[in-house]
Amino acid sequence: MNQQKVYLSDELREYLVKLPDIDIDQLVDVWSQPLPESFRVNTLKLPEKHILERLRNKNIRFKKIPWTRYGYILEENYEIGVSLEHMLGLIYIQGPVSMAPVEVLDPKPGEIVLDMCAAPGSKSTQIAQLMEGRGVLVANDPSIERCKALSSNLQKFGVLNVVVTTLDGRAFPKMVGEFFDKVLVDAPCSSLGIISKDWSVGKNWTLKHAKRLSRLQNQLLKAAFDVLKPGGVLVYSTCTLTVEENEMVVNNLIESREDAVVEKIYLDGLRYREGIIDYDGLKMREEIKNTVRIYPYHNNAEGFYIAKIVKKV
Amino acid sequence: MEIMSDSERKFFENILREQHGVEKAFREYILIKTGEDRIRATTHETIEVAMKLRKILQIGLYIAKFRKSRNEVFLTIEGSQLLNDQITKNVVDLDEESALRWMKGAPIQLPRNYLSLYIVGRLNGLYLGSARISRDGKAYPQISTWRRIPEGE
Repeated sequence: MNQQKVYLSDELREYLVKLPDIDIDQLVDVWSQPLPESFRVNTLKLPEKHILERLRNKNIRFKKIPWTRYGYILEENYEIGVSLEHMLGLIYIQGPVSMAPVEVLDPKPGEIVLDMCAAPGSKSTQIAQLMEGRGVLVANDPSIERCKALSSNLQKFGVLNVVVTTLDGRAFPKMVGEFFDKVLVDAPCSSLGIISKDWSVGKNWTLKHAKRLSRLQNQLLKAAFDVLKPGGVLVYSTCTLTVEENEMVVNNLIESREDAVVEKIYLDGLRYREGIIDYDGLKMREEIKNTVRIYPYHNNAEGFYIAKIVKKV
Repeated sequence: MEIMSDSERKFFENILREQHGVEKAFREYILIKTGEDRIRATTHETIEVAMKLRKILQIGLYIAKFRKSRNEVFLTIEGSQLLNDQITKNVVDLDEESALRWMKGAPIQLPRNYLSLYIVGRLNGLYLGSARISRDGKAYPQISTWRRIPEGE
């Protein structure tokens, strides 16, 4: 039986072929399949080995995701979303590559951390876990509707040291100045990296929409950098593949902020390519190569873009 | 949102002592009253950070429903997990099957009679929040609707 393939609009196809080193056939193949099911164990509630033991006792088979602490991929179908472990907040269902940005941010106990676009809370709960209940997490999302899911997930995960705010991310600098040790901007984007979850994205994508999002992403990233303490770390991530929403946004930041440095990213076992610096006649700074572009076929999972930026002391 | 006064806190602590034998309930945390009798817990540092922010939707963790007029406290799943083994009274140990029923919000037939009207469920050392004991000897778990495992699963 022929497997049904995802449909891409002509505009999207034309856009993708312009990207260097991309294999469109492989991309379509991976987009046409469901993403692997993966989860993170919640060490805020129980030790990791206790939770894994519970799952093994139910004959659930899984393997460790190498690039993230506490992340596992299911090796066979299991309705983990309705399991007791999920409802009790012992595990959190999250895509394997979606766990990478917080690993790059590497929040530590005692730090003050901002998750600027936090809903529905996958990355906020991951940040909270690595903070081990010490320090403060500010989980922000401008949409009160989306904050309902964020609040539920933080509750289920057992996070005490959190403030949930509904601000426009761009309002933070005026309000607090250079205040945070670490900031994550997992920006709203055109979502090309997760077409497997929603095929309509491939059909409805337009460059105009991506460029509109890019304006917001530029503003959010600058605001995030401005609330960072000197020496602080900022991670910018999206689940899309366009240069306008990724490298160009980071390049704009380092062009406008002299104290911004793009650092190299190290993630064990994760396949990716370096950030694009030469695109459509535009030459970007060499250090943009330090950012990572993860295509869905690299790891048979979601596509992502991640940049790590440090504010010079 | 309002920080619980010392006198209210004392009252809240006394009920928890009486209901579940808890001696030092949430002593290291700040307790906040929010709408619908909900009590949230957080750290001092979190409150300090919150003072600098605007448009706050919520702070900390929802730990209990406190109905002062009825002298009753229902612990949420996370509230009971935070207290953990400080809970020494009126606890029922559940097996996997009963825990599933508990998380569906379905009544559980208790193995013996309890003098209290309130009980906390526990599965292999993990606390699952409060239930109200009815005259029929069954425990009715107070699990929020959004948190329940759907029927049929």
